Amino acid sequence: MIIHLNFRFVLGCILLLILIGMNVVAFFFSSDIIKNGTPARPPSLYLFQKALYHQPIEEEAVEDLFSFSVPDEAEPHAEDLIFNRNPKRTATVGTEYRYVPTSQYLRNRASFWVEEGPRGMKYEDGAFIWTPDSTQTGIFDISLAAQMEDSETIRGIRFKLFSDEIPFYFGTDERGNSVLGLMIAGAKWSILPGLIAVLIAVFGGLFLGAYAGYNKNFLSNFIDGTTLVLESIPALLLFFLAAVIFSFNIYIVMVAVGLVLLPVNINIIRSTVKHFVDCQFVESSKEIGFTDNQILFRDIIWYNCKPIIISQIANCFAFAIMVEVTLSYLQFGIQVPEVSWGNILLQGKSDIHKGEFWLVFFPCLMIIMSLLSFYLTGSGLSRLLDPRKN
Amino acid sequence: MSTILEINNLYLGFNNSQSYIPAIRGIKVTLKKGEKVGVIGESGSGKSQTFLSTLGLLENNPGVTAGEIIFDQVNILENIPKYKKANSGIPEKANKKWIRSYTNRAKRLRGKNISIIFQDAKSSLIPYKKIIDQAWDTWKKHNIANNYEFQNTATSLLADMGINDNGKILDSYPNQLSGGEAQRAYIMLALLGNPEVLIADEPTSSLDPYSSRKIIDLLVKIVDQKGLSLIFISHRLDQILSSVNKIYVFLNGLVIEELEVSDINDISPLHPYTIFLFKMANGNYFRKLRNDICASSIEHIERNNYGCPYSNVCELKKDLDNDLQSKCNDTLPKQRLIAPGQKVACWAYEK
Repeated sequence: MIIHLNFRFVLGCILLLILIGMNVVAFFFSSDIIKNGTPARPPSLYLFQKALYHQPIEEEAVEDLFSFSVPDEAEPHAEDLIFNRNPKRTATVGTEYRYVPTSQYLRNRASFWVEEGPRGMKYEDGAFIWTPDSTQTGIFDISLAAQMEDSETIRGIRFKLFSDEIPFYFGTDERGNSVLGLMIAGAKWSILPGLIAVLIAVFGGLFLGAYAGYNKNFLSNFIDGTTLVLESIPALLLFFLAAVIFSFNIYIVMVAVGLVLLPVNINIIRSTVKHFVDCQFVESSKEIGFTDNQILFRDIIWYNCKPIIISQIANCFAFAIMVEVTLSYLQFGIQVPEVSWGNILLQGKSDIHKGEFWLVFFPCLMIIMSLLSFYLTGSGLSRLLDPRKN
Repeated sequence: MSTILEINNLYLGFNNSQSYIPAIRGIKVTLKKGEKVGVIGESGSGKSQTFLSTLGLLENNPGVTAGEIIFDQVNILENIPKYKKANSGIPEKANKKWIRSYTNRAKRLRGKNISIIFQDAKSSLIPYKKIIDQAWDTWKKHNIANNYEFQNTATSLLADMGINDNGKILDSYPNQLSGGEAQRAYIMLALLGNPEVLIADEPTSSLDPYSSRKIIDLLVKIVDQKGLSLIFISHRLDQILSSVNKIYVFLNGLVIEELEVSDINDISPLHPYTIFLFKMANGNYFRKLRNDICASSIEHIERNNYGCPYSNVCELKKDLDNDLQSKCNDTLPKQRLIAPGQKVACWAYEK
């Protein structure tokens, strides 16, 4: 048999495997994953620091230093600035910190020095160089200065430098916990609670919807009526209520999520089964000698409803994760000593105006990744199992 | 030859919102072993319902109300309760307990003793399920012990129907088959349970004339080969005339004529409706006969719950005396033997 793997299935599986791996780490190595460092440290990657984290360059001289021009050259150069780049604000013990302040052209005409900084930081060969040793961890105030030839004006730059023993690629929060560790610990609340909601919603919906679609009796009418009642309950209110009554136990809230998703799944499965029940093949299968259960669960559901059920599982998982994050953000879900993506979002919200984006950016990235992994795997798998494609 | 299926004095009908509508009013059909029987009649005359009732596939509101269906000396309609109201035209609820026991008895026959081939084979096959999976499930249902013979049986059945490249058919989904291939695949499924009686319920009405004729010939060949009994339901006389031993003519839930066919060239139908059918069938070849019918517009056969169903358009009725004419309108005619192997229900032959 040739399996036609599609791109979305492969990508979804990779993302899902990452999510499952994070879950395993969170459950079995939970004490080791959250490392401690300097508080509010930005991510190590210079790209993030440059693009999203700006500290103003302080100019000590107001007078324009570069008003003179080289006689041969008509227009001033782009390199007229001395500190034309954001300095890197993070350093790791044992690795060289290097900051090139400006271009070669101006470097020959200017002199640079460290005004204020940690022990060992110096200007050498056109760059500020520093290799922190193991005692030099923490936050350092750095002040760098430069002066052009033939000029009295001094230009300077002042910033905070975070030095730690390990590189925190995702940064740290205000207590100094590594955001990467927090992300992994928060993944704990994605799959297992979602599984409860999915079991109730999809598999309950499958059996109840199949019964209601296939039979015409009192019980199927009763199921129809019950779905209407369940559909009319305001969802968010029910989640709040369940959270408050059961002392913020996320697993019981997920039962409520399952109950909210149940009527949707019942309706989907029931309408699909109803569509197939009127078909000729049901009568002819009966005539061949198959029982009602065989026709319903094997011929209708197994052969014809697989793609629908799989995409419903993915949708319900995604919805459950969204609900968990939302409730935690609103402080109705996971409570503070425990870590959840929603909690961290709430924490990061207050500091985002200062440019400390990483407490919002990385939880959002994780939520997108987990939802996308379910959507892609579900859609890819249902495509894979759809006989019309082969 | 022993009788294998016998339907005696069968009554069945359906409840409307206001009234009970009788679909079958006291018919008698016998099928001997190895016999091929044709059932003909206009749509709505109850021919399909009669044979669906042998497998309990009717919608039971109330369904069968009287009579007996004997398969292999066992009465499926055993202990049938008396539907007094229903048989006099008033809606009555079905007896659920009896329906359950009747359905259970009929379920044992399905596929194993009696198989039905339906009109549209493509929609009779399960969509998105490969033919080989359907065949395998059918095989497992009926043959528990000898699973290793499955492949041989399926391929030889398909080979009997003129399909040599059976791997292609077995490994495809129903929507990938043509109409004729689907019909053959479905016949294969129907025969996998080794039934004794095969009911073909208008199996070729969705096919073109050439392939429908081919399917009928193959069906008859297989039935002869295996010694099965065949009931061929159709609304076209010319399709079945060449391949059956006996013809039952249905009209408005009655068998108005029953005639044995020994020689195709020597058939003399007696009932005016049967004569009309024969004229239509042969009219394709004899222009004069056809023109005879085409010249006069055909009147609608009105439903008559009390008298002969054909009485409002009958040609023979005009020549009868007043006494018999009133009988035509008011009283159901009974079947009587006119010639050897030929029974007619008509007041004109009462003398």
